[in-house]
Amino acid sequence: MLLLKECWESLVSKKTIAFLVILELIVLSFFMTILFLNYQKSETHAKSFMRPFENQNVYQIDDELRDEKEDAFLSSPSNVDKLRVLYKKFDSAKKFQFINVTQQPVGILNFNGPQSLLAGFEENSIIEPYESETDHQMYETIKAVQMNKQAMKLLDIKLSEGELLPDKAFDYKENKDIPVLLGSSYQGLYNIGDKITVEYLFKKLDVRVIGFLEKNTYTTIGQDSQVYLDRYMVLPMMHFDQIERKDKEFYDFQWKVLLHSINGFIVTPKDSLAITKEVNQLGKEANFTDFAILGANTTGIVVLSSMMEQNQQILILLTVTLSLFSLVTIYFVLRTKLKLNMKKYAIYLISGLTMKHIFAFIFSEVLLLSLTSFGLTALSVSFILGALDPFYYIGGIVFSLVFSLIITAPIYFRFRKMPIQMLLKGRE
Amino acid sequence: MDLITFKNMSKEFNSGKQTNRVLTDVNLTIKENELVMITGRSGSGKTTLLNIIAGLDKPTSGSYFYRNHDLTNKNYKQLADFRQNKIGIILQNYPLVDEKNVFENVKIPLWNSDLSKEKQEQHIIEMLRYVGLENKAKAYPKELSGGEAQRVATARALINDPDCILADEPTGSLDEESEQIIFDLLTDLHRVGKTIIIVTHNKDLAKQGERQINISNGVFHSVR
Repeated sequence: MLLLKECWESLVSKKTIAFLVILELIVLSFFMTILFLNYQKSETHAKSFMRPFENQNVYQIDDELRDEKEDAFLSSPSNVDKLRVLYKKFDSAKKFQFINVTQQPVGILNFNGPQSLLAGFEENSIIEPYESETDHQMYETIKAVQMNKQAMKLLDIKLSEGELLPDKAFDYKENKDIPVLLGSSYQGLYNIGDKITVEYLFKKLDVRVIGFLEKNTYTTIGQDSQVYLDRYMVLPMMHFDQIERKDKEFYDFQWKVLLHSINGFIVTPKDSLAITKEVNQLGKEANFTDFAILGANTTGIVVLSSMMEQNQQILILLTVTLSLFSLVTIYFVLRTKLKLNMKKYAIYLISGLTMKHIFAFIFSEVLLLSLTSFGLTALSVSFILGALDPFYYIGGIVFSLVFSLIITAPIYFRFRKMPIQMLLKGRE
Repeated sequence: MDLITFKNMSKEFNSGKQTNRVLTDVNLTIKENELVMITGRSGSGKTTLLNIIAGLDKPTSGSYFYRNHDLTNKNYKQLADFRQNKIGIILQNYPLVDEKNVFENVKIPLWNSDLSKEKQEQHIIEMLRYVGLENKAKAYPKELSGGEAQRVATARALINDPDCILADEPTGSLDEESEQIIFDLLTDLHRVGKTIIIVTHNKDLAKQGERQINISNGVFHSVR
């Protein structure tokens, strides 16, 4: 009680000093908070998204079919079948994982959702509603990604509701509903079990909602390091049992899907030479070798990883510098305050208090200032972002304690060494 | 009865590699209800002696007895308890805490008192009445004259009813009238049975004590 009363009186009596110290500590707490949030985010990345890529090399498959060469190749169903076989081999390979996440908008019938879900919304170039050539109905174009089975597993996609795409969802079956996932922004617009008519690569399909993604779920797509899926529909990247030429619409759909499918990423601990040998062997077995294996250096995953590391280093540097600056300035501010309080402490000493009491007053005052500053910062951050990890609050309190000790320890040792008559005469 | 006894007491201070002996082989007895004046040049060791008597500091060698109790090896917590209950101290430079009013200043030595709040208040008002400042209880130090501030400090020194009052230059920065008021207060306390030890440069004031001790180069000389 005496301690609290003393702290309060001391703070109130030197309001300007208390205000300056609190202000400085709030800035420090704010940087600490950013550092914590950044660390937490990078840890989440590391645990969920980045973990599969730890100690792995990522290579990209790029088909070399262009213009006339592509037209000639695709005119023959047996050639398209080579793509089908190759994709099957990639998909079932034991020596690497083949992941593919492709961004391809889909048309949607009877859409009543917000414009933010439409393709091109973020770029301010929304695709106008169009009349389908297949059923002559009006379709809107929404943002969508197609993900293969391995990508779904490797990227550890989390749902807020429903279930992930089952293995059989990746095998195309005529006249069967295709299971899809929807981003969190679709919640309230559709429910699990709802059937939606879409047009994907000019093929009319019936899809059924089986789950909603957790808010802020994201993935990398090609060179885009971070694509949030909140406003996306996630379709399975489908595989076919055979290639059929008799229905042109379906044939075109098949080769388009397959061309998307084989241009994926290989995730493996193997080096470039070993993986090239392995993949070329699979190409030979499928009788399709018109593709290149690109190195991993430019992929979004690598860019994201290095960006996160750099950001964190800059933040750590900034926070450490600021902490040292705060420590030094607060130490000198408190020393000045101590000199101003010398008269009071002398009276306390002659009134039966000890040096330990006085040190407890100084320590409590610094602790109170630190906790107040952290409390204000934590309150503001929690108000904006919601309740944070309990470790943040515990860490803040522990940091305030350690900070107060570091600040007051030199003052204590200086104070303890000071001859009593110096203190009573007001000299340091 | 002997109140304060020093036997071969010395006090040294270390400043860097140098050792500075402030008091040398002090053998001194102060009896109960004495009015003792201690004089000497600046740096002669007067304040150091008062600090040791008050338990604010410890002798480097020799012994210190208070009512025949050996205080030499007591720890600072025990000395603080002793100081709070047995000794009243009046300082020249620091009479009062600026951010507390007169009432709160007098209350400081009661920080761990067992008395009820009402009894504490009653006691503080009595002390303020004794020093003639009961009407200034709510005033802050900046609203008081130097003499008034020193009277409040005297009330604070008396609040725990100590046996002994130590006053370090209590009138050093006061005008003549205030000086006389403070000295009258101290002599009045002496009359009611308190032991008063005053450190002073003031030769006229020093003559008014029952006994005068001069300290020169850490050595005691009884003048009277």
